Amino acid sequence: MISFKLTDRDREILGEARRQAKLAAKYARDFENDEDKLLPAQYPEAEGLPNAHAMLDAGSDEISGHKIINALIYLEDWYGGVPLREVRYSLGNSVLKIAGTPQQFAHWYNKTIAIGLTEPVGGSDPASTRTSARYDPQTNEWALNGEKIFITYAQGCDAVLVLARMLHPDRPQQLSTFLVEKGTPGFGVGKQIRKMGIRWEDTAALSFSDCRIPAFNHIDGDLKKTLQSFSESRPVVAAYALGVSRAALDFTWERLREIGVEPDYNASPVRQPAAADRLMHLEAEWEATWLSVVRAKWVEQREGPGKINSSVAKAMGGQLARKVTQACIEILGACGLSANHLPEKWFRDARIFDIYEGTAEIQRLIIARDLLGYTPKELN
Amino acid sequence: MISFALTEQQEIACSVAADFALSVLAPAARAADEAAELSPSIMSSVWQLGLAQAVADTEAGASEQPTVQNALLLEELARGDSAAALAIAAPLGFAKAIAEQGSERQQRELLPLFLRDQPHYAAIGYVDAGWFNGASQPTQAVKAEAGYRLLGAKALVPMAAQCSHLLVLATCDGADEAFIVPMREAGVSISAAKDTLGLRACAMADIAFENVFVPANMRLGDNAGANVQRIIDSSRVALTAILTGLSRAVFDTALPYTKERVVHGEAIARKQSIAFKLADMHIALDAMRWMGLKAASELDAEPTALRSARLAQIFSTDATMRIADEGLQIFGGHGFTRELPLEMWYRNARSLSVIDGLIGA
Repeated sequence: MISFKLTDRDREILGEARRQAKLAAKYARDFENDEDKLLPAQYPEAEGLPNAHAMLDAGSDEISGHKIINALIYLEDWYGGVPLREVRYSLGNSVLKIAGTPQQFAHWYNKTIAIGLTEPVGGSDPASTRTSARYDPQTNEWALNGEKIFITYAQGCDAVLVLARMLHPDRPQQLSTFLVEKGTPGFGVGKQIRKMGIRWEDTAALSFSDCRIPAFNHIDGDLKKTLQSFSESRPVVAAYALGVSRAALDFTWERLREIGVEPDYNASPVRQPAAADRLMHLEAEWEATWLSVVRAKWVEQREGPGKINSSVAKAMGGQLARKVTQACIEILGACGLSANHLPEKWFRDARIFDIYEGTAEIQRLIIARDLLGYTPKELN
Repeated sequence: MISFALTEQQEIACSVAADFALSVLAPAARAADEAAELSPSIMSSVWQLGLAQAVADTEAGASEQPTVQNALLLEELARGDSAAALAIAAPLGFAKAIAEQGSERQQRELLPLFLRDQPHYAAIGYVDAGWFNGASQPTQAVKAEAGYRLLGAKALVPMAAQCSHLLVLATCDGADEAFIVPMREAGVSISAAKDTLGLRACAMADIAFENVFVPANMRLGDNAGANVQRIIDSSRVALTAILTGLSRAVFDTALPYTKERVVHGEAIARKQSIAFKLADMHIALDAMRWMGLKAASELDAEPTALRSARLAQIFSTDATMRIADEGLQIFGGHGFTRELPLEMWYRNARSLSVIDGLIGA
């Protein structure tokens, strides 16, 4: 039976996450002028407070589902501007589980694994990968050479899962994945990238210069399956977008309330103050995006990652964040530009959601191919 | 607990309605639009589906989520013809308001009308007539001896000439009320059916009230009064459902066309501009369905769904206009002619997206 009601336990977990997000807001600007700083594992205010993710994992009372609530906790984490405690959504770990052998997963399961796909020439297009992995039969090692950019968790991670082209007599030019641990000679991490927003995020380039790894580190899973598993993270990014958008909307409604403007759900368009009308349209889009995230995760809980639900959620979230943050600054006017308040930061933060983890255009290509039954060759 | 699962009963009902919509309603839609009339035999078949009867039959056990079920059914019917869906949703909404909130006497007198074999029309008057929504005088009721006097006019009532009653939403002493008004009552005048941009087959007309006397016991709920917001919310859920069905018809027609239509040596579906339109249509269509069903599920659980129903309406009105617009564009010049349904859907999309009240789910 259709229902969108959160359970009591859902509310308890998410309520705690929201509370902590608000506590973190005082640190929200700490990275704006100091991007080399990394997030602490947790801020002092987190001491003694339950970790919402741990509450979820405790798995006691009735919840709407682990994947759904996990995504919604991330929504809350992004509400405050920076997370009170660092919880890394480690896509690398889920990918390792899917693509790696049980031995490989057992070896690295508790490490934070970043994903290294993007290159300077070739953001959205894995087929243009230039990073190579040359097999050395004498040492049974792979030697990696190449560059990756815009890598999240670059500095803080324990290891990175790298997409590279195999140079091996039996597997010429095929793409595959390799796990490279920090400290491996020839593996370098660049400086933190100067970004418009999300400055607290650890983003840097990686370089591989005859970086040798043992054959055990070759994660030789079905690459198609591996890339498909990335779909798990897309609704989560949309959840980040929901968190930032929610914060921007709440702030703007509060300012409107102070001057007597409230939403009137029964007013005709000509009787509704323009600002309220505009925000109500954005609220509708926010709710629709929330439903798309929750649905993607609900289906994933039941059937595993679907084909396009996750892309739908990502496309909605990416667009929502742009529209909401742009509109809120417009409504707030010149005062919205001030660095004494958070809206201008949310505006700068929100712009990435339609880009990273698969651009708006890539999501639409994925969706359209599925709707039309076209291969990438037929629609690119 | 969050769930997107339809019940088996809901799935079966949808399947039946979809079949009917595509095989009976869709082929007849263009002729109905040209003639500005819904064929009585077709409406008779729609009536046989039992939507109005299900709410009017207070004896029979209601389904678990009657509003959700009706929203699903209206969506399926609208895939065939949104005008026919609107036409059945009007008596459905009226009967629902009486069944849920009518006094014992109101239920006894009115509900049997909707249990008959042949269609019985009624509607909910909410938006006031007059040139411009914001400029017109709101319909008002003033207390009179043993009742009320109604003054004003309600806009664009579907099948107005065939309605036996109108549930008039009006203010009385500043409060929102609902009055059951028989169309034969003295002082009630029904205008000639208007030529409208879309939904032409619904033969919509304005209904004016010149000091119409409403006995006290014809105030919905009699002494207890009624939750008028619930009636408005139900209409928005129904409109969202119909808009969703209309959007689905556009999408289901446009997508296969893009794979067949060859331009510059290849199917237009292979061009990103077209493919992206389809992706955006799918995104919006999925979204509006769940927005509507969320509001519907709230109405089944709570007295009102003010925010959800209005946001669902806002989302679906915006999205449907865009979908119908881009759908027509995909067909180029052919989309502009009356040989294909795209232009009719475009007009219906604009029409459905500016009305309020009238119906229920």
